[in-house]
Amino acid sequence: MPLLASIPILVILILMVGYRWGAARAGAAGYLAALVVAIGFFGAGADALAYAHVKGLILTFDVLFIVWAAFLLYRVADEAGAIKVIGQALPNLTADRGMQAILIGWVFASFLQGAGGFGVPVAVTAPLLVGLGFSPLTAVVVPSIGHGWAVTFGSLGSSFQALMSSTGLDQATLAPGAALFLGISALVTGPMVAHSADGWSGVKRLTVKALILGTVMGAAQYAIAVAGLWNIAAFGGGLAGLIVSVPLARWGQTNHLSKERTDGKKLFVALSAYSILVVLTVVILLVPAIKDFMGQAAIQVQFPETVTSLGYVSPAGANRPVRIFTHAGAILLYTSVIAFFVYCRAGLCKVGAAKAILNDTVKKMMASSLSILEMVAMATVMQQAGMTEALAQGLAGAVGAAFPVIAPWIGGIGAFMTGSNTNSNVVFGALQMRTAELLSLSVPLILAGQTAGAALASVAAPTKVVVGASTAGMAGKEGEVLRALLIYTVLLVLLISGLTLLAVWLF
Amino acid sequence: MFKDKFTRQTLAFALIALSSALFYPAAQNGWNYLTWILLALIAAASLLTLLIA
Repeated sequence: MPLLASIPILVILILMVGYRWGAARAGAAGYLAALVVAIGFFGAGADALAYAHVKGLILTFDVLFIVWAAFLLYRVADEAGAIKVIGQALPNLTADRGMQAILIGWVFASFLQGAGGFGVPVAVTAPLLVGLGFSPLTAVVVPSIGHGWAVTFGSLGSSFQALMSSTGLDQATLAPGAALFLGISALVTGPMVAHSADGWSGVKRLTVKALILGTVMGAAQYAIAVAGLWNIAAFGGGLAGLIVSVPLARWGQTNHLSKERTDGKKLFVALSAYSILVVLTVVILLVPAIKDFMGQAAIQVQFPETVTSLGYVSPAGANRPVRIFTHAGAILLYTSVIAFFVYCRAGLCKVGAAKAILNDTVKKMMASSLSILEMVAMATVMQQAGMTEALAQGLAGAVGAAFPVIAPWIGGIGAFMTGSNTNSNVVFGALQMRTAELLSLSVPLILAGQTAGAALASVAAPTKVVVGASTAGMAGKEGEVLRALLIYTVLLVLLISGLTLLAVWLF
Repeated sequence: MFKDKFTRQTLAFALIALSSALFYPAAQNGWNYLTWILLALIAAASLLTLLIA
């Protein structure tokens, strides 16, 4: 039975990697395979399948609300030229090429991952690095490695939202472990970026600065995520990095002065969208009266028990409430609207900007929305039919005590194959949780391993590599990029593997 | 009607989302025939995605 249950996942992985299908098409194939196996071999009846789809629809809404709104905010800021202004200010801070790579390819890329994601960090920073004289290969590899640690809490929390939705667990349970593992990986990421940009001499020269930056960014992400503001945790980490990088870049340098001076007012206006986001998030999520008042409208459905013909019982219960007006997606939506008017008032709006932003958002998000909908439906059908349970039992029996070492690799492989930390969490979240339960292991730590492994491996996903390579003029040389990236990626997932084992052993 | 990839993807998305929403009244009222019809619709939308999206 575990082998049968694994068919939908294998279908997705084989089609995406072996046949290079897009996530939407592969997701559809995986969903159809799940449906056939659930009905034909696991005895799922009409009621189980019907409720599986309703659960899937709620989960999809929960995830897509934030995915769409995060991209909308990024487009508002980009349309006003804000991203360009921030990106141009950074190289002026230092003449050290290794430090420039760290500032743009790590700190700024992480900030962009926190605020936008969806391939934006590499797409924006790779051309900047090429412009500064880095080779196209380095220009793609540096930001790819650089933003991995910020993926789970990046895109304003999309992947973390998916982890909560797919497991039904809350922020308080999941955030500490995930933020800790990713924070530690940030410490290692800095020296890796220095190595990729400037070899071992860069590592020697820049490790202290990189460790300071990594500590600041990792600690900021951890503190913000644990405080309940998980949707701006990576963004906050990246922003803290940007602030600290100003004095740090100049520290110990005699020839740092640039011919060009950064316009402080321009930079302040450019960052206003993200300042609004921080204020709104803090006010809505941390002021109890506002949170309670706005949180009254929620989507919560009571589901009855269903039993398959093989006797697998899905217990009765309600889904995790999706609070419409305090949802991370809603906060992003309010921010996008206010930021748009702020930018327009500052004279940064072109004619027809609103239409261009909306059109681009809908066009860019539809393919990923369809793939998320298909993969979520596949995951909920598998869960309701008892396929996830069978797979978890098979996995628990096969790997046993070694599971903490394996869990991050499962997450990593999922993200590598699907190109997305979010998709990996949707597909494997419930499976990892159930396997941990069967083995009496800490569920939050195993899930921290899942999402951290997925985040770090997602940057080397062929789908992301293709996009990144094309922005730096490396189209057709994706194999070179992948080879260079894989070494760092494997080391980072190995680190998470060890951390998960150690944490499970300690706690 | 299916002139471009975006239209096809939007159509498949809308069809799957709408059918999924209708599963709730179908299951609550025990209308199993409607459940199977909806499943067939979603499977068709997925096939559409699989073949031409």
